[in-house]
Amino acid sequence: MTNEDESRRKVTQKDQHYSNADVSGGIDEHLQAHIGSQLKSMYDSYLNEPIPDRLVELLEKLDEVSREGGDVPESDLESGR
Amino acid sequence: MNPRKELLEHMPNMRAFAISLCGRADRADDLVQDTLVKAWTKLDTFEPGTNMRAWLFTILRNAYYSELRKRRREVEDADGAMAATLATHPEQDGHMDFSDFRTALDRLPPDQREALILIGASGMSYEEAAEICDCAVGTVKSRVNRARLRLAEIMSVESGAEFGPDSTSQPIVTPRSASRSVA
Repeated sequence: MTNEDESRRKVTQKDQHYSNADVSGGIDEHLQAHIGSQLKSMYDSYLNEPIPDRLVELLEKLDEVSREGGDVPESDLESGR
Repeated sequence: MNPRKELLEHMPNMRAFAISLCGRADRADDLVQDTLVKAWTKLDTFEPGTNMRAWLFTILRNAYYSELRKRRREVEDADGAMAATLATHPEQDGHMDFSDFRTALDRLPPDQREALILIGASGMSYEEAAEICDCAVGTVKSRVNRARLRLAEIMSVESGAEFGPDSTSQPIVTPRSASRSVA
């Protein structure tokens, strides 16, 4: 009974970690879980970095240029007058 | 649609994807800059209501590969066959918390690295990743699979299997000095 419960719990845990059985292969699960969390926290740390001013300024500049009808293509040329 | 606002909203993800790909914030910002200009000039090809993040990632990813090809050519021109070992310089990236993992990630082939980042970190679906990488869903799956295997291999070799002593403390724990009887 207890053993059965135990193994069922293990299987469920495994399924949660690796929905795709072929992905986990025969690799050590701890290491794979470690890789997964490292990857996520790395990405999240990049995600939370402040956006450099030069990129925000670039967007403002692009916006300005297209408002003034600069060389950024506008799709509504025929609606002129 | 307010393109400036939309692009601004996607900027953190574009940067995160770019830094994850190339390993260096300065190069990543150049990539994002390139992507913003390209995206802006072909905004009319974007279908409103579709996934803008995937659209932007596609542009960014293509910019990354053309830059990579350009760099490889330059390196080949400069000193022959070194291109194969051309890598990023993790010591310059300034994200020390993940330096070991980062180093391992940088050693993956670019196609495996990008698949792993898209699926394992950015939250893209396999279908979206396949579209971004311009390949079949099955190809994305096998790249992710191989990336995980390869990373596990690199990390278990370099940290001593099973997260044992790290490389700096390893030499101290030699069989002779091990005082196992104490434990």
